[in-house]
Amino acid sequence: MLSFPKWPIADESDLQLVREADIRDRSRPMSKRFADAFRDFTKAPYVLPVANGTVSLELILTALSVGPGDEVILPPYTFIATFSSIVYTGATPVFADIEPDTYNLSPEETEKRITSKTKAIVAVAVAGRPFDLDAFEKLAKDKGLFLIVDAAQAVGSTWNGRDIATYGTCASFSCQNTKNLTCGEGGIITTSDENLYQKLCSMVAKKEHRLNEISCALLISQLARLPQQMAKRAQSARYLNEGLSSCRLVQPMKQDPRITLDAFHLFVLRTQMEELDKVGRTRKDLIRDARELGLPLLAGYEPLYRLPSVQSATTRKLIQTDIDLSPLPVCERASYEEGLWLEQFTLLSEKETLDQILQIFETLERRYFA
Amino acid sequence: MNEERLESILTSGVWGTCGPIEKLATKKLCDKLSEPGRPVFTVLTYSYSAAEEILSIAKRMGLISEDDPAYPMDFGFAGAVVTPSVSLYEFFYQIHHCGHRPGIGATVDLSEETIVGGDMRITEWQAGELLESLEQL
Repeated sequence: MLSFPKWPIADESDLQLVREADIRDRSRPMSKRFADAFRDFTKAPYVLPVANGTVSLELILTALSVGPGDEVILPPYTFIATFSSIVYTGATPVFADIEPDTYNLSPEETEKRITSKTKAIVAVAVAGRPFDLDAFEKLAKDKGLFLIVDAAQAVGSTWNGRDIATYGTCASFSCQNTKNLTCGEGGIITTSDENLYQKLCSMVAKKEHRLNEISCALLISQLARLPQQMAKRAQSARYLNEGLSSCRLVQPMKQDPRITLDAFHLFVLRTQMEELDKVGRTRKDLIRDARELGLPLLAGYEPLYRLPSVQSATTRKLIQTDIDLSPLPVCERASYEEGLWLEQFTLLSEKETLDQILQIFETLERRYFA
Repeated sequence: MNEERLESILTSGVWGTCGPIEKLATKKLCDKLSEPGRPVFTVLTYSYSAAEEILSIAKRMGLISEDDPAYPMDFGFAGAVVTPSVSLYEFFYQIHHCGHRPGIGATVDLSEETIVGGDMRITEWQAGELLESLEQL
């Protein structure tokens, strides 16, 4: 196995802030300090730390009065929280397919799913990569819908120079333990709507969805490290993408100049299925063989509509109606044939480790195409 | 706060999900509440409201009725759902931990997950506070 940095990274500065925190202080100074710091970092007008990045989505949908009878469009290529937050409000989730070269929700496929019952779109910045925010902001405005930016993996990402936290009706972030900005468990909501922010604050206080002071203390110290870590991840991703540009096994994701900063919560590659088919190999072979050489490649998400929990009778009871579970072709291909992930800490590795990653792909390319 | 304990929590699991301190606190609470021959099972949550929400969702999913033995507990800085039923405990656990079953982490085969779960997990910090409180009872 290759040697990767241990995640999360913490030192005395984290401990010092935690020592200052008092979980019983009702004035919540650490929460205020972190909200101020995140506001400065993102330029989002209103910032609300909450218990986690699932509750944040539930709170947003509830504050927007999304509920039974409403439809909410989401991608199937995402974590279950995007789905659970919708069904827990009683609204009906509607899956729309993703783009083949970004794995993010397709604006064209989303538009096809809009009906008179559609109230909101929850678009996910998969792997930290912003989706087409121009297209989705226009679509939401034209159709009178709420746009919720599920930026659980995208802290720090920018689109046309603006932080992802400033887009949509609201944006939602996760600070769970694998995330680029983490306190173990936590979430953040951002919005530019003062009335909505006040409503969210009231709901968070009333229902005890606040993020505790110790977690906020950790986020303050972790946020201070984020810019340097982001720069390193971006540099490593460029290096790997360049190194793999002529590889017959995999291809990088589409480059988009409107993405001015990519959080790279995951480094995503696409398996070159047509090339592997020629030599009777599959993505499964590639993942297995890479792992044997020490590279922990992951296959990524399964389509949500195929999960037994999503198909279950208990889910239908929550929303009192059926969900369209028809397979979506691009998602099927991404989930079962093509998608490959490396976790974000891989990109924090030294150049020597990145070179070893490239050597593993070269070794397998030689082996497969000998 | 005890500095030695603080460093211990930070290194042993503050970053974890359903980590070692939560497991210790859960066991301690179950031991406190159980009677000979009548064990109880507990799911810890980040707040009392989160515990109530688990019960509300379980009712809406048709997993429990008003008569089923399950109740929320309030620790001020955390919450819990307590039940003497193993099957109800497993439902509650899945609702509180993104659909994952008890004893199995996030790498579980998703085809084994049968309930759409949310996230009501307690943090390791809160679990540490609870553990200490229970020891002082």
